[in-house]
Amino acid sequence: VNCDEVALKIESHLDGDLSEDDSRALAKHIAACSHCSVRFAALLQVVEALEGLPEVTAPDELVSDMLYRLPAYHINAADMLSRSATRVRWALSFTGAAASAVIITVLAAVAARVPAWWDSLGAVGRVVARLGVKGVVWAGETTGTLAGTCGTPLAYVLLIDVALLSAGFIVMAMWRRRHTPASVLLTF
Amino acid sequence: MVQGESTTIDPPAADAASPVSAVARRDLQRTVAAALQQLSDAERLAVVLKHIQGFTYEEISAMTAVPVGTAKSHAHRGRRKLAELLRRTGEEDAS
Repeated sequence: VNCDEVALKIESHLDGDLSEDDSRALAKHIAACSHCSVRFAALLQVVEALEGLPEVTAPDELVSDMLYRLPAYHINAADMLSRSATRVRWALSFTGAAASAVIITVLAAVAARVPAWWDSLGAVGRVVARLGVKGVVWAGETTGTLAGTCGTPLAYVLLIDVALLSAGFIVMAMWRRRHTPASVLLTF
Repeated sequence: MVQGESTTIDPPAADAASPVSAVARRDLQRTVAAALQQLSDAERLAVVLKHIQGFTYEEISAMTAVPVGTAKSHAHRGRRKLAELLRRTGEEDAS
């Protein structure tokens, strides 16, 4: 056993990782080797002094501050920025959805109550309308039918439009960003 | 415990083997605590967690997100530095 190996054994011993047999061999070497005995004594003195020191305890403010921060632990500044950007996007989307709902509802009201206007578009006009603004006209027709045939008040039709569009956006957002319905609502 | 096991190996050096008074032990602890400030952050963290807080290297590794071997070598290097700093302090006091 040379002194370099013993140096490693001393470290293991101080870590509490050395077996009984190895400890005995180490003790034998140290008893015979002044170089290793000095090294061991110096390190043992350090470890014993350290173990006599009081444990470090965190101040109460630090603990409560850390507990307060824990849920936000993974959110760094960049995430916060992108979160607020997401919020702006959501606000815009929602405003857009609400605006489309109003437009659709107005169109629906017009189409339902002034069938002459719809007829006046003519066959070609209706095809162009269907192809060009198919979604809007479809929604307008649907909600218009709803308003016309069921006599649903305009405010309800508007609410249904908003609900349908919001549901669409929420589903789209859940699919694209793996949100839960609650987290999507919270971003508004 | 390391302390318990280490009593089985008595350093033959006359100074270290002699009984240390409570006052001298407190002085030594104060010196070691002061010397801790001269270690690198990683060494100090490993030494404090291992020998003052009494965590295992596995726990330290999990807490500080460094491999077990790295935590060990930080603690070992920190201990050697502390021993060297103590030796120098002793020499200064003697002179």
